[in-house]
Amino acid sequence: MQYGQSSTDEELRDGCIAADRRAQAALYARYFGVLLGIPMRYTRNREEATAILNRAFLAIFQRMPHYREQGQFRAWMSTIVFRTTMDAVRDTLRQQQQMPLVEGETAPEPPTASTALATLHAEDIFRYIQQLPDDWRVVFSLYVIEGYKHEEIATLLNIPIGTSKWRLAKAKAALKTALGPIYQNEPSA
Amino acid sequence: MNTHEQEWEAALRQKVTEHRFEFDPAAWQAMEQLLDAPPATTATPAAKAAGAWAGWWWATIGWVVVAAGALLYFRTDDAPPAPTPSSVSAPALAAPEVVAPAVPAQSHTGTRQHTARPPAPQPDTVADAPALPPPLPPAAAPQEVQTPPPSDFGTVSPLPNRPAVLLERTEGVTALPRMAPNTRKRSRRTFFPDVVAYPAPPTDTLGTGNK
Repeated sequence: MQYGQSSTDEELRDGCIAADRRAQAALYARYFGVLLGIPMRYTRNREEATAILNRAFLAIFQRMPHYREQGQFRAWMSTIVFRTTMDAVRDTLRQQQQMPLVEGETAPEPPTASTALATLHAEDIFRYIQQLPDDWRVVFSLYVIEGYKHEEIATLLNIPIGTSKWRLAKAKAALKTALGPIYQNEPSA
Repeated sequence: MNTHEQEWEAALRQKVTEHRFEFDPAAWQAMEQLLDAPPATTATPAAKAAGAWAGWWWATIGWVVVAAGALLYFRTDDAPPAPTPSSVSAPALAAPEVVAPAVPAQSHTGTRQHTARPPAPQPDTVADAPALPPPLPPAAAPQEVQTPPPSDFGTVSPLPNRPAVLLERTEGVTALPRMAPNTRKRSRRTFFPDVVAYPAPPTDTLGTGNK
């Protein structure tokens, strides 16, 4: 059977359960761009995020026979990617390695005064977020983007609630400094 | 948090979550290598079965050790004490009548006769119980136990398992003032008649004729 863009998710799932490499490649290509954004918010660069996403896809392929057709298939995969990312993030934070930026990884161009958030490219926003320290970035992404509360973040990362609030405040202050002109303008301007 | 910050964060969230990255063929190549790699942590069914058998084996060994320890502990407690050559006739558990003092105690009040002391309760199942293995040999050589001098408290019946060293200590033990016997039924003597003996009647040391 040929798998491609016209194949449905059910067909790709059946092919993945049968360990068909073409079905796995089609599913990977279909959801790569969507799911990569999850580890991109918690890692320092794209290579690290891609490695985490591949481990998550491996878990998806292995657990595909256990998928129950309840809810969206994409949400089920997003959950697995998020949990895999959290495992990697916890390992990184446990090692307490404040690694410097990878060589060649540069900060984005400083925004001009007339730039608005709506006109800023999304990958530049990711790069701004990735410039934050590891612990600040994780709390910022969990709170602002995922919508978690401080109590949930504290439980998730095994840190005190006050530490979570402190890291969020620091991350916001750093982003406001980096995005000064953008933050001053209206977000939809 | 003011309105401007909320709007700004909502716009940031929307922009980040709705972004779709371009497909990277190099990422799929790395994914294929991951798929082709042999599973390192997945155990084969034979290995799982062996692990299960090993778990049962160790659990069985643990239970056997616990059971043996419990059996040894209770056997040590129930075993009769080793016979010690002593001038004090140590009564056996099976013969509570030997525990009674040689001199029958008489009550001070004259209203209560302690000679008719009820025997210690004996388990009925002792005769029917299976024969226990022979007791362990004594750890140390038997020591000669001297009879304590007679005191105003009368004859003290030794405990069956009382160490000999306790019986030897007679110096420095001050005689406590004798108290009138308690009329309460529930006393130490009631609970332990073979341990706490009733004191002998006081002797008429002053020659007053009162006892």
